[in-house]
Amino acid sequence: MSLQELWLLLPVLIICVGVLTLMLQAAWQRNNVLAQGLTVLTLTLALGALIRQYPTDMRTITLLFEHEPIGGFFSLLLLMVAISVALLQGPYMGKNSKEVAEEFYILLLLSCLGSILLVMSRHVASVILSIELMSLSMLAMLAYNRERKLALEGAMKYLLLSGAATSLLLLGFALLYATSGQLLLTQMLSSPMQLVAKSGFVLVVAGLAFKLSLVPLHFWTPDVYQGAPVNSTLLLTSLSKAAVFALFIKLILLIPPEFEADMVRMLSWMAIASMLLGNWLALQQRSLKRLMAYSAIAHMGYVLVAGVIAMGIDHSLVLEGASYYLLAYLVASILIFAVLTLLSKLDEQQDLDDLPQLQGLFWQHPWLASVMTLAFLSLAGMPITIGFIGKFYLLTLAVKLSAWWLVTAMLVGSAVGLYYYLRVIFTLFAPLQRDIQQTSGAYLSKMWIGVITAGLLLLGILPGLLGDELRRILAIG
Amino acid sequence: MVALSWLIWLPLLCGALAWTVEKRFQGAGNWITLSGLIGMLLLVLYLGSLGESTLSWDWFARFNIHFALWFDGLALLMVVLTIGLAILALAVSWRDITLHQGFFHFNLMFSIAGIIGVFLAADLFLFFLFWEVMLLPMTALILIWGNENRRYAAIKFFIFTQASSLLMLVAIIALALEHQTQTGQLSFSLSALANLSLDSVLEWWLMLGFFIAFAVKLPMVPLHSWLPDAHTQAPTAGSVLLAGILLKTGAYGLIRIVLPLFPDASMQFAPIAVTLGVLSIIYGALMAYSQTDFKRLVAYSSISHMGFVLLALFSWREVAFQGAILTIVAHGISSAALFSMAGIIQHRIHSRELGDMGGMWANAPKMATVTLIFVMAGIGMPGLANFNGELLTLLGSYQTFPTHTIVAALGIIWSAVYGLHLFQRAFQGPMNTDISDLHGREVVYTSLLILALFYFGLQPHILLELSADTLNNLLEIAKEHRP
Repeated sequence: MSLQELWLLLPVLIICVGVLTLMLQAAWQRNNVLAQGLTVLTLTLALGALIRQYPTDMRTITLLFEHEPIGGFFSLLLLMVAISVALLQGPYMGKNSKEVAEEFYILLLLSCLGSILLVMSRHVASVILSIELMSLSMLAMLAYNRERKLALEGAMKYLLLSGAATSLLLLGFALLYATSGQLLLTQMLSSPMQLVAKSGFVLVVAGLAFKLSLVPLHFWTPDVYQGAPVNSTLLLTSLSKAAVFALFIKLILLIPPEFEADMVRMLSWMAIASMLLGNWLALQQRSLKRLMAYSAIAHMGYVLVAGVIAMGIDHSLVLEGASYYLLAYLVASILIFAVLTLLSKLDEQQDLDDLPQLQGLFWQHPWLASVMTLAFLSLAGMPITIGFIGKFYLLTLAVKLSAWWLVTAMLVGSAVGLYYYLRVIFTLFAPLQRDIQQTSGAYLSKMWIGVITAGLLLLGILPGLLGDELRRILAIG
Repeated sequence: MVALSWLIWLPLLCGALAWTVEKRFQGAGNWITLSGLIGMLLLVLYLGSLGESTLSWDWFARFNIHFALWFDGLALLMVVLTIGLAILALAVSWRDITLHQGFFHFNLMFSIAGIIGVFLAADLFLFFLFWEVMLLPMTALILIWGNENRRYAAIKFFIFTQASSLLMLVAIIALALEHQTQTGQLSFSLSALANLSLDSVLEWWLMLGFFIAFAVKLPMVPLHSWLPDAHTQAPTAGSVLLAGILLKTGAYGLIRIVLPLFPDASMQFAPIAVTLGVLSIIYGALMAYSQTDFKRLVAYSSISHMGFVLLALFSWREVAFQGAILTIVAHGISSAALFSMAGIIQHRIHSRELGDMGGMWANAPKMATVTLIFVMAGIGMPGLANFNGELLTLLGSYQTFPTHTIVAALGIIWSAVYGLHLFQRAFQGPMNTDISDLHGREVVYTSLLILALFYFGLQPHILLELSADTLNNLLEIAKEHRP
């Protein structure tokens, strides 16, 4: 490993140093404000380092990793998510929480590290290692309040099922290795595929589809989402989805042409089923977290559309579309969960989750409710929010390829989706029933939410700001 | 011309300003909104005096999307109508709104901005954006200040219009991509897209995508079921805007997009569209007759009147086109007028049921006279604006669709039946309720409405001159494409 390669790994190294520092701090003197500050500092430094040496072409870093623009863009998204979670954890825990604070931040940094490494991976070993690093640290965060029964149950479910999914992934890679004799992703998939190799690839896709909670591997999602502390749910719904999707689209682009037709068929059905079922099941949810879980299933179906089309034509527009859509999804998810986090407390048995509890939020906390309304409108794909531009990209792609089944499913899904997003928004604007407490103070977190909300509007009203540059940022075409 | 874009920024600014100032000074919102609207009226008249103008800014270069506005006679007409009815909406709710006044003005002005945007947009992406954006504040108006069943009505309104506009979005994208295959460049500009020569199957589907979105707004039977609920549950200001302008955006879309962009397909589709239009006329009239709720009755009569617009537009005749324009303006004024009367009555007796009214002439002669004039306008009495529109519509479409026109003419008879029924039950007969007569502010705006109805009834040529360019353009297209 040359010094230059080490230099390219700088963001990763910064996070590693951050983890060590936090461990030392926890051993030396426990202080949750200090821990939060260190975490945010680490992540900001990593963000700065990443932007400074943003990749313009592909460079390999040892056998295991690569430094390339698409991974770079996704790493930016991942760091944005991690910073949000770190900033929200402070107000969520409060000053005198029963749980210790430092470990949460250590786990957060670890899972952020895993996700960034996953995005950079080019070798089976690094894929498996980083995906496990990400998932396992997330597992501990899902059960961070040990007194919540639902959280423990959810974490247990996640542990078992995620373990099963990883073993599928491993088995898939093993089959691919058995036929190709290669462990580098590009070489592994470029050799001609026989039945064994094909089934291996399908297993890999299944493993990843589990993490993305695509139908039919979505069953764990609502329970885990509902059980987990709301801030950890945010991490689960954004960080792991974004990182896994980056890997997913990388793999899809590597599929040999003779296997494409089969994969298109399989993934199209998964996408259609996710869009329809996700939206359909969300219709009658009272619990916001469950609603967001089903909505995540549906939205992963939408981005999968981009993945399906990636195998068709015009790679550049596909990558742009997928990136924009994912950004839109992440921004909206962060905002929704951020508002919920500011209205809940980690120490309590329950987060604020039941829809009627939010009734009349707009009349009591107009800013929080406005943020939430905008986020839900963005998820519903209404214009002047970033979500609409994402939807516009995907629809353009699907129409361009004349994939009418996908277009139909997207339209039906969106129409159904409107209803439940609207239901939440209407609840926010209904007459106030009872007092809703929000965390006072926490100005830094609220400013950060403000910044992200401004981004949601800005990129929705002036989509050119990012859209025109995206080609250059992703260095394609 | 940059000033053109101020027609959109001004209401946005006013809305935001009214919301913030209302918190400090009770009642200031009314005055801010009113002065904003009057400022816009002056601006639009000034712009109109300068003649046709356009504006185009780069917006989203990746897809070659521009922030492009286009202001011609027809747009002037629609924008003036919008602002006029917005002032009416403000006037009827001057004291009616007691809850969250600032936020009310905010929503009112934002929906005005969206509607004006729809009338001005020259880029389909922008058109779609405004088309959707005007929905949100309108839904909020229904949801927050509406009547007893508002939540249901608001959801229904939103989902109907949203779901149908998704089809339009797909059609817009497909059209832009077709432009790319033909010329090598994506384009959403209306003028560029008008030059495409489309394959007939593709043209048919695209036309249908747009048509459904506009037909829901218009509304056309069988896509109308959101309308009676939305109109009935909305606050008076909301009903005025909905019936007066929002329905017209559907007709405007047909004139601006469907007919000029897809002439062959829409001529092919004409028999179906016209049949549905006539169905709307008859169905709307029959349903209106059987209502006992004042607002619901007027709402169904709107369906009936907008059927005339559909009939006129798809018969592709000059006289019929003129009839459509006249009907659009006349119905805008007369239905808004009737809804404001419904609001005035509801404010006094807290009921919209015709059964609770009756004999009101005795106590409120001014109100009765005014309502009688509005009802007469609605049933197409000569001398009032609606008559010209309906006459020209029937005259023009008889040349193309004689049978349909004869049936549609029956609709006019029915309109007299339900109109007189409404008036008779509310104002004549035994006295059921004690009601106070119109007071100063109400007298002012109702007499202005009466004046407008008479004026356009006697001087329809002003409307026809303003829209002449657009109609001539359509007729040229018709000449080229008529089989």
